[in-house]
Amino acid sequence: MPLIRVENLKKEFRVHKTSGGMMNSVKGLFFSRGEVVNAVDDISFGIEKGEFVGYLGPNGAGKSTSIKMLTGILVPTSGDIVVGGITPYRDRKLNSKNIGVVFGQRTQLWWDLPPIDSYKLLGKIYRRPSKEIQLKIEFLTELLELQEFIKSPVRKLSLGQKMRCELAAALLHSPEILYLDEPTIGLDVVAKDSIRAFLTRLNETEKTTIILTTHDMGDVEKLCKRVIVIDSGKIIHDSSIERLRNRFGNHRVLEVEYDEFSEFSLPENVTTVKNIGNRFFYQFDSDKIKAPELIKRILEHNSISDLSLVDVDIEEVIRKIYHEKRTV
Amino acid sequence: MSYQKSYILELLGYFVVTGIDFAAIYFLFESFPAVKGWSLWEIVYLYGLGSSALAIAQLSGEVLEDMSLIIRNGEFDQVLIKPISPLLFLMPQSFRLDRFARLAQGVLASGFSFYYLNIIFSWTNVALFLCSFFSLIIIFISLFLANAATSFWTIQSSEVFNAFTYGGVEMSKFPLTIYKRWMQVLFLFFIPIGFVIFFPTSILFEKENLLNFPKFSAFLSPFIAIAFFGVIWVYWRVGIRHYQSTGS
Repeated sequence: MPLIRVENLKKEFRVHKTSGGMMNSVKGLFFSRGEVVNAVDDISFGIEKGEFVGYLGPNGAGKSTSIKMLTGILVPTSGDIVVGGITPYRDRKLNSKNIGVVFGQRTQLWWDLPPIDSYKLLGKIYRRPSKEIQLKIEFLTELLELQEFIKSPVRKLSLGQKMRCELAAALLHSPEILYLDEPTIGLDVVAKDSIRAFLTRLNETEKTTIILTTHDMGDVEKLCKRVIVIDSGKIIHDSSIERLRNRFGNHRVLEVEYDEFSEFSLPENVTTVKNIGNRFFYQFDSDKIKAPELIKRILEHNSISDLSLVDVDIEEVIRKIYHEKRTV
Repeated sequence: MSYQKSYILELLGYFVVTGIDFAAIYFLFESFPAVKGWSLWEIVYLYGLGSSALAIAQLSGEVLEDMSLIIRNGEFDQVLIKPISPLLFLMPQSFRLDRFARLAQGVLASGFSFYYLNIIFSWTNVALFLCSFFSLIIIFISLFLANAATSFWTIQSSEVFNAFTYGGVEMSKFPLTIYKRWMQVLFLFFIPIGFVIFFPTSILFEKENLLNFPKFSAFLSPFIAIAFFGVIWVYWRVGIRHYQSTGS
């Protein structure tokens, strides 16, 4: 029995169309043409305890809508959700004790209060003994390095500091599941790294189940063990990160700079992606031809001054998945 | 310090505005000795009752007036992921110091009118006062809640119920008997502000004209108010289920 079970989940929104302009707005008051949009269209999946899942998709694909149904904010149009034995939208309060949520672009801290005060208030809201909350605050302060600013009002914190404080706020009540909606949006490299390190630790040592939506493929590559891709409300891919990488074969790119290029016939399964002067980019499938073999072939015909080998990054793979879906 | 100054100025401004209100009532009674048998101080009492009940309602539930904003900036999502009833989470944020001006002024007005009207302190009188006072608070909070619930559908702030809240306050400054039939029906049965003020107060001041209602109607006020709240509560619950959140 998975920790999170979603079956045939659907969410429809009625969207009112106005054609713009004053007259049409007035008209819209009386005759509003509703149009049904399937934000989430019949999705099913299960997530086991301790998984770290990337929930990906282009803008407007239905990611946030799904997360909001999982957290109990939205009531589904149809279908089932069971999270730890609870149906979130029916037992919203019970479910909320079990989950932590961070919406990257929203705050759950009180703007004018220092985080430490917000934490104490949240402790009361979650009805946890103040002793326990105190210990938890100390623990999280240490891990997330909040010491310097835990007593300054939230409005004075930088984006990175704020995000660390948000994470602490979401974890105060030691939830079993953590939902993160674009937690690294707008952060610099160092801030991203510290948050990623923290999340990895959380997942590995505390066995917290984490569901992450993001547009940052670095997040996916460094954190997620499984990836669910959604587009236009439908799941178009669900697999482990390795299988995702392999989905389009084991593509790699060899970059070669020739001293002087003379035409020769490429082996099968190798294509020239582009060339700039004497620099050539060859794409090949490492299951079909090994890199040394290809390099040997090249050296038989030409002398080269430089060479490098790169894996196709996950971003490219995801882009292909989106694209493939669109063109079908 | 600058906050203190602005606070004092705001209070002062408030007292000037309401002072003018009082002056209007006073001048009205310069030309007419009574309005449908109600004297100056009886009208002042109505005024004080309405003001102080509204002040308490605002102190406890005014944040609901900002519901459309709370929905639009995503704050309501945050509320729904807490193990707490949304109202319990939001309502304490209504607390605003400047509302105490309205409360003080309302209490003063009713205090003075009790004094000038020689209302004796008896359990019945206290009960009559409390009946209308608390019922009125419940109705005002219900109206705030109705407004908030409407935002679940309209997203834009809705002013429909505001018309009844603040219109009701204005209406309540005079006895129900001066109004047209349809107004009486509206404020007796649909938005029962009139009901909970008129009957207890009429009994308190020993008025004859009870619009053909029995005397015990005064003590029905709390039940009417609670029933009204109940209906709005259901509306609110339906609204939460209908809540659509915002994009992203």
